[in-house]
Amino acid sequence: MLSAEEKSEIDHEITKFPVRRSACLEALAVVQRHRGWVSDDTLKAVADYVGMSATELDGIATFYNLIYRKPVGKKVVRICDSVSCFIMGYDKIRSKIEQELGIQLGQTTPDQEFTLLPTPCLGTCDHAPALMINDSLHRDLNEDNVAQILRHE
Amino acid sequence: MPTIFIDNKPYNVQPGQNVLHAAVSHGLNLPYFCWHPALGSAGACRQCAVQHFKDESDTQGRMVMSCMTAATEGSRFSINHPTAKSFRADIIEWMMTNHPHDCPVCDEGGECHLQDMTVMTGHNKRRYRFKKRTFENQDLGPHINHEMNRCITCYRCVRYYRDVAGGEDLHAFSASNKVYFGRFEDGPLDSEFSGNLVEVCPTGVFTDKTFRAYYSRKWDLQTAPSICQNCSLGCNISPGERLGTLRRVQNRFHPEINGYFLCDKGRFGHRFVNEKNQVKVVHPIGPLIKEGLMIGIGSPRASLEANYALRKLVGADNFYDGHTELEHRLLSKIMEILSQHPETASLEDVRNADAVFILGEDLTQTAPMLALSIRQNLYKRAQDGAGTQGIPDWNDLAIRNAQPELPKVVYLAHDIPTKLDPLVTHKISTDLESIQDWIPALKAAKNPVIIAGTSLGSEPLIRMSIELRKMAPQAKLCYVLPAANSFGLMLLKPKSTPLLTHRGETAIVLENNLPLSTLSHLHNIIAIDFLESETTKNATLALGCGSFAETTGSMVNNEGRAQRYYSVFERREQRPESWRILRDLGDFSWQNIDELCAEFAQEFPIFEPFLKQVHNTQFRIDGQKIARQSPEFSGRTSMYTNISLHEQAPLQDPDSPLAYSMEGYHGDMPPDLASSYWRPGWNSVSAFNSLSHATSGVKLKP
Repeated sequence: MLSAEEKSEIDHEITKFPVRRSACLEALAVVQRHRGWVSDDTLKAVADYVGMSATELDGIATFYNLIYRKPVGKKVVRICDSVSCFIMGYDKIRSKIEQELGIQLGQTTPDQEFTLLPTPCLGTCDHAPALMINDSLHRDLNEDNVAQILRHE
Repeated sequence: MPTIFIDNKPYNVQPGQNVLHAAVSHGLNLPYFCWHPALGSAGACRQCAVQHFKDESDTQGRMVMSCMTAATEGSRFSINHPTAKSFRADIIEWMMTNHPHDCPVCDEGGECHLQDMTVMTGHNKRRYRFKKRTFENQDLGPHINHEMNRCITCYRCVRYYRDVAGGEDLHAFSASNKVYFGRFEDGPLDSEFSGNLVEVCPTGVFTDKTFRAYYSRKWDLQTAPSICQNCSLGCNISPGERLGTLRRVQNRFHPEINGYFLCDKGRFGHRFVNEKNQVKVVHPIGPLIKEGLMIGIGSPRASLEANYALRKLVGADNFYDGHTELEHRLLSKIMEILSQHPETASLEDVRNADAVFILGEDLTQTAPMLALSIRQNLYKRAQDGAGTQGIPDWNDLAIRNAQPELPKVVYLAHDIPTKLDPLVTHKISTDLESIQDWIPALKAAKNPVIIAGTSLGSEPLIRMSIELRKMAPQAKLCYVLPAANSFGLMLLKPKSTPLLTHRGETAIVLENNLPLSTLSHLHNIIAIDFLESETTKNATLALGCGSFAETTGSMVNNEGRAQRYYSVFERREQRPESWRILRDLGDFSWQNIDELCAEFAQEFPIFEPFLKQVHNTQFRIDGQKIARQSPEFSGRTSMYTNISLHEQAPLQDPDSPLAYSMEGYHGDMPPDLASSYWRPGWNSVSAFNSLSHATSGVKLKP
């Protein structure tokens, strides 16, 4: 199930820990990098590979919001809904994005381009409201610039 | 014994207890969720908050979680302090925001810890007016029903299932308000101890699916103290009946045997009581006309009383063992050993041992609660290890952090993979040479237990157990036997069956399905049993008797502990005890079990201490028999209107101090007579915390 490349990357992660199963989260990150998300079958294969039960590994996978257990679009928009962003107009930004993309929080556009997810904090409260699209951070958002950002990404 | 003050009243507490445990042991109404006497404290639910004072002059105090606070000498607490009270009210209100209003259709309703705690805290009106979070449930197999919406995330289920029972297929998923307890995908739970989730879960997330199939409220069940029939350990159970069917089995605490838990075989393995293929009752039956040689074949699954009655009927010379020839040989050897070394290990001894040596038993299969006791043992070793670091033995999470790998003190000799293998420090084949390697570890241990048994049919292994015992006189022996009353039957000194070679004789076969090789030797069979079998089908005369659930009798478990089980119910079409059938066949005069036992004790003085101690038919509390039905038992006047419009008189029970009635004694009682736990405000199994934890049963020496 796991490709040779994935296995070798996981093996490398395993060397960093005293116990094989401790590398389980890194192993999930490895397969997600390759496949975009972690399917049930992928999860079982990773569980077997690091030596734990699928149930146990899924408990860990579902705890972290950056491990995707459903397919996501090419661009994952993570909008901060924590206190500072909330005060600074998260609601409006969110509505604007939902309107632009035609999806709600937790959904993916039919063309598989965008997935919209909430995130608790991006550590940039002084420039709230903020969001991230894949690895790039966007701050000081308002209803006007957010549409621009989506289009340019 | 330290004294602590709760709301200015002094209470004696057990040394090393936490304040919550101490408070509920004294019957105080302090609500809690995540603590469990067998799981320890997690400090997670915040429901057991109390106010802690510096000294007598301190009226302000500070809030602490009582489960995470040691009950040290002279410490002062308040449950009723307004700050703690309002804090607890807030906690329950938060917990209840998502809880459905489905108590009337919930299986847990009426015996729900969450319901009790909500009432106790005074939360009776929901202010939360938003959408509740909802989940999809999973199919967890034939035994456990799953209803996640009711969850209050106390984490008791995974702490029990993973940490105590060693199960790997139940886990917490996701985070914050969406935490979900279940499996990776639908499917039956793997653990042999999954049924305990029903009692561990404080609300209706995990409920008994077999009970649900034909459901009744707790207060409508008739219960009696009983003994599990499914293996030789003699775990204490509380079966519940209504309208002539056995509905469920729950745990009945015994400190030296099962403690707080049962295996799934014990909890779900009693449905045969409701099977349709019961042998027809022919009762009363006249005395047997004795013609020619008559032999009796006893049974390790029948009571002592029934086996004794059979022996009396056919005579000691004609009383044969219901075990196979091989089992008989192994059991004789074990009896011989135990007559010289009577110190057998209870499950509690196994839980406390500092090393366990297992010779050829796959315990998860042959005596499951022994396997669970070994898992509990390893946790106790971790508690001890953490204790040296100053961590109290109730502080579960700290213990598991301090001792991330459970210590390994289990030595196993077996030729196939077993479920205990991951816990074993040294696994070898059953080859006797290699077992010698254990000797240094055995000698070094302070209170080791040596476990062997009959399941592999190996006499050398049983001999090996005594060789090991000779090298370590401090070790206790524990033998896993073929059936619930194997020990008891052997004490009646039956002959081995292969001696049965004569033809043309009459054989009375008691509650036993004999191998065809034995049956073929027998020409004329009188079979007494509850369910039809090859033996009853081949019998000239098959006589139906009652199952364990509707008869009273005694059994001796694998440690030689004699215990009595009491009939839970009587069917409208009564099924007699085997001993009553045998009494009639033999024309004996015993009117009730006491009269039989008086004669029994005379003939077998070994049983005398037990028969003196057991609560016989004359025992009363406050002049009353003990009620099997709760004071809230409903439908009494109408439940048999399909038979007659007139209310049926309660059936009489001549064999026990219990009554088939809601009338009678309901209060505190000796542990061997208690089958349902209840205290005002405590309708769930948690009521047990403030009741007697005394031991029961009498250990016999062969």
